[in-house]
Amino acid sequence: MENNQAAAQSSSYPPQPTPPLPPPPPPSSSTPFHHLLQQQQQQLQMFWSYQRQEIEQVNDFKNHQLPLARIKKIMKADEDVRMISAEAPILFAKACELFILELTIRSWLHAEENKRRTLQKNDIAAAITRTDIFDFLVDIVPRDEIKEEAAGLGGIMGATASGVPYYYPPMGQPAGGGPHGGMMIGRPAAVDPTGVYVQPPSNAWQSVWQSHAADDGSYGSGASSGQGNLDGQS
Amino acid sequence: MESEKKVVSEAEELPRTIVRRVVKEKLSNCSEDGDLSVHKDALLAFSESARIFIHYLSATANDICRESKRQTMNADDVLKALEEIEFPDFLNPLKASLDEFRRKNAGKKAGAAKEKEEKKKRKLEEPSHDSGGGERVENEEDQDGTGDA
Repeated sequence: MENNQAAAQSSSYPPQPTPPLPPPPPPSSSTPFHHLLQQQQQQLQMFWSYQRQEIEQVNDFKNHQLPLARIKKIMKADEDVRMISAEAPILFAKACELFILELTIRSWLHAEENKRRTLQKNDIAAAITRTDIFDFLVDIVPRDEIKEEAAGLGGIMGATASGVPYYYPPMGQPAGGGPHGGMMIGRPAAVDPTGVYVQPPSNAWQSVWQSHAADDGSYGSGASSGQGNLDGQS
Repeated sequence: MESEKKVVSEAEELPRTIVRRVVKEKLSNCSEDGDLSVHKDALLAFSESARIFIHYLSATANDICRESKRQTMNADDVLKALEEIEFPDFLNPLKASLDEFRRKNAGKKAGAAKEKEEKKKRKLEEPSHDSGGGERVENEEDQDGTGDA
């Protein structure tokens, strides 16, 4: 008899290497053992497909990697903020991440301009100074930085009497709406005219872009900001 | 010089490793040739900026919430706040995140609610089966037939 007959008969084990699991038994002769194996196989399958789902979802979870509890604590540092729905910190985590991304890109542009491959604090300062919607951060930017940027712009815009250009709050403020200017947190107070600077028209940016030469990290001269934490003692 | 900020900061900070990861990942997109690095002070600046952003957004959302005579800041307040502070580009990704979160939660809630329902049902069924033979839950040990009816 030929032994190369692939024996489908369960009575004789075929000589070739056995598959990891025994062939499915004929229904009538199913033993509890086979049931168990099948069950385990199913469970394994479920386990792995679940893992795959999880992995696909990890990207989403990665986006929520900023810890919600910490975000809540930061929010509650503002006494005006009382109760927060469960969904809010989720949004904050994501918004924060997007914000950091924006700031990163703009800072990087500045580093590129100066042909550096290391992002420095002044790159961030420049990004803040240049971007209107980052006005709320202006207080953490050392004054020197503002002046340097402004100097580049002031030549084009025509400096004001004090040498520090003016700042216009973002438009479209609803009645009693959000904070304006510098670091007015939670209080719809009047615009505080102390750290102010201009928002130039787009053409001006081009020339600033080209002419703005030396801007390497030569600040940190102790020009401190409102945020004591940030003042990097370099 | 290289002060590691051992000072107890009154303000909570965002975890630096996470901030660092976000920044570095973005930088690796920005420049394909070679690694961009980030100065330590710059990382602190990112961290601090993000923290202030949270305050800014939070205060704005809070105002919006109060205007509507509510006590609890909700997702809608946050979304409106983003528009107000002129970050409209964030709206779409945030809404997507929110939808995702709500879907997952709905699933969990439905599951939990179902379980509760089923538990209730079982509880209701038990006392009514007092007349012999139906006390599966209580007399499991008696399945070999010695149960007293």
